[in-house]
Amino acid sequence: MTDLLRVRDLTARFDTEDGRVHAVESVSFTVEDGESFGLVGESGSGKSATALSIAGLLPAAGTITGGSLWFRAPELAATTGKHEVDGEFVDLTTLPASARRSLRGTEIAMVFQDPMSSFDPSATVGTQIAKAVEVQQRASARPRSTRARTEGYGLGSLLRDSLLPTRSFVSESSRERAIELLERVGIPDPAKRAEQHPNEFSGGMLQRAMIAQAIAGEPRLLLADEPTTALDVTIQAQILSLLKEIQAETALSVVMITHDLGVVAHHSDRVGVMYAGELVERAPIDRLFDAPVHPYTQGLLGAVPDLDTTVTPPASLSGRMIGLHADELPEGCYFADRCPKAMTDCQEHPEERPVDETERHTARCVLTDRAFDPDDALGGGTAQQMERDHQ
Amino acid sequence: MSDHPLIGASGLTKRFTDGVSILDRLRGREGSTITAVDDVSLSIERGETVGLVGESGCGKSTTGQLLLGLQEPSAGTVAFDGRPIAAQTAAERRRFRQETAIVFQEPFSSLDPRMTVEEIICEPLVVNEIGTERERHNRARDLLERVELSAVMAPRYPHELSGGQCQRVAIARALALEPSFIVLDEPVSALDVSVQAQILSLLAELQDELELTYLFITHDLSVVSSLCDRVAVMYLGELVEVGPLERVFDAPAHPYTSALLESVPRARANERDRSIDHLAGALPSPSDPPSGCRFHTRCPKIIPPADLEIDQATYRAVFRLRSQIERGESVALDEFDCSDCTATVQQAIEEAIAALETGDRTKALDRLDATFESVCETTSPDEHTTPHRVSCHLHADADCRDHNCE
Repeated sequence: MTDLLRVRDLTARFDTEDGRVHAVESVSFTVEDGESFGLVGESGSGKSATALSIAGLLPAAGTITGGSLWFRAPELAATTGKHEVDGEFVDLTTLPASARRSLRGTEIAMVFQDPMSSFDPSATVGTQIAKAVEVQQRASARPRSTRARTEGYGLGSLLRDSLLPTRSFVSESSRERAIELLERVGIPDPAKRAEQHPNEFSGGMLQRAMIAQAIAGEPRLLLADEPTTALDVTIQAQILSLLKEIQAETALSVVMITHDLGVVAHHSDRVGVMYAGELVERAPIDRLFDAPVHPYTQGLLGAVPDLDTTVTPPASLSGRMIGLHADELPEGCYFADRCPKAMTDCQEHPEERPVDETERHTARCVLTDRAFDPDDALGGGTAQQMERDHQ
Repeated sequence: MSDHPLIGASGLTKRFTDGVSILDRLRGREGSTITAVDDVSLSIERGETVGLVGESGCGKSTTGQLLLGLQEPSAGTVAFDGRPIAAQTAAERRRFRQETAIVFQEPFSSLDPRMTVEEIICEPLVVNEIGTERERHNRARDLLERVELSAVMAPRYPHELSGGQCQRVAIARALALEPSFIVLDEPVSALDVSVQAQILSLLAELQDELELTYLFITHDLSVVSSLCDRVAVMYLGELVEVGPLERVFDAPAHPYTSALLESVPRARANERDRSIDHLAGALPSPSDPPSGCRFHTRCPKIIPPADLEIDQATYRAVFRLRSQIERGESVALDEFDCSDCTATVQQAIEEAIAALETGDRTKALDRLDATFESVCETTSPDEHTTPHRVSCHLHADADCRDHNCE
């Protein structure tokens, strides 16, 4: 299979009043054509920041400070400019804002967690999807026309907008396409639904509409950020199977971001586990569940209540994640303070290393090439963890 | 030990009326009434944990609040320790309030941001005028220890705590008056999985030590399995199945319970190969619940009339067609493939389609109703007691298999 996206040592920082937050720390993974890559982790582990970095939607406080995002875009790669090119791949981090924007929606789309707050409550759902269709059509006709209004909106733009009303006009064909899209995502009576406002939709229906909006531009990569977290299990099952269907039809690649290991197990081909901004383990789905290497992955899997077998409370990871401010980060492994298998070597920061010879399974842990030695143990994470809790 | 359950509800019903002002009443206007909880009977024994599960909006939380007397039921009674709470004297009521507690879903918003952790935990003691200041202070320290938080947390404010820590504080507050019954309303839903596991095991420990009785309300079936003795499944205000955990989970009697269980994605390597036969549609509006069995609009095992030979997939398709016609939605006729159906079925569908083409929706609907109307639509199922409490026509009818309902 061909790669679609190669994330290499992606590093992102947020500047806050309390200092610099190391949100994403040297994250690397690839997404192949038509595959589903799961990104799991607890809140604050950097999953969403990674996705927003890929989409180029980091909030103002966030910046990508290192690494590269190689995205396969032969046409862009053929044009010359300031951006870095590697064969058919372009580095998204070096693209000018306008080129970045022309990829958004048409090549890379995103679905968010809360459908209610992601739609404009004052416009009909149909119009909002039709706009996405329109943007895609204009982008393919004239890449420059997707100019953001916030950027360089001066007197000239004002005149142009008032003299050329077609700029904000949603054409009849886009509207029809929007209805088709609503039908595609399984919304009954799509023509009537398209005329309704988001508040007239249920959560599950609105999430379907958001997927319709995301696939309007026929993107190749869909970033799904906790798309089913706000939904009931029965609706979650519907949305997941809808995503699978669309993926099978259009060879869409999906990055599924979730805290729910069940969702990942159900949907993804390969998984990356994030902890404290780092990708601590990356593996094909069966390897991750059958032979996890990183103690955090093991702990996380242990914490999931099993519906089919156990009746006793599941084993749990003690304590909580370290803070990600620059001055809070330890020199050694970020997980060492909670790790039941921490050893002397863990006082040095571990590199990401392959677990098997295929290099499809990697972990950022000393246990990749040595077994746990109880005599060398740091005395378990609990002591340090307690100390921090008590501060 | 007394012989009655700690808490027992019978025929509990709660109706909410929407949008009626005094002016509307004077004009004789009636608002829309929603029956949030409909004829719910449930008893909880001492030391037991009952899980109340269902989708959002099914009436789980309202049931919990009715059991605690936080809302007045429209009909039915709740008895605490054998004594109906509606008949309680003021002193009994006060005692009841001390004996019961609740923990809410949202750890941050259920704590007052202007109070310190110690003030939050002591508040129930202050309200009930229990102990001196010194004693309350010591009690707060004990409670913090009990929920595995250190005493240094006491002077902090909620915003300084993590979600898991806030939930521990909320549990400590619930324990302050040494209650015997606690309603846990989605206590772990807002938490990460590792923290969730910590809180669940804390709750299990506390139950053992303090002989607590829990009503555990949740939409997440996977957390039920680790804590509950019995499970009650709720759908649109009604209890559809109540039984021991193992039996409900291993051999669910109600199609809704099976569908709920099947919908939960399992964290396992072979999960990708498991195809989920998911439920269609969403929870219907409680202001206009479906006739007969409320689940019939989504049920994968709806029972066709006894004299009709039809497979479940076709029957479901006919059913969808009927509801589309009824709601006046556009109808996709080309989806129909009746080549394998019996003559009766084909004839009925053809006649209905003919009526539709002339624009006569009522006639089409009547024609379909005449042939396809199910017992699930017309009659509300009785509650059956085998294998355990379940409200479904499938269990009334021993000849079920002859009707292709499997």
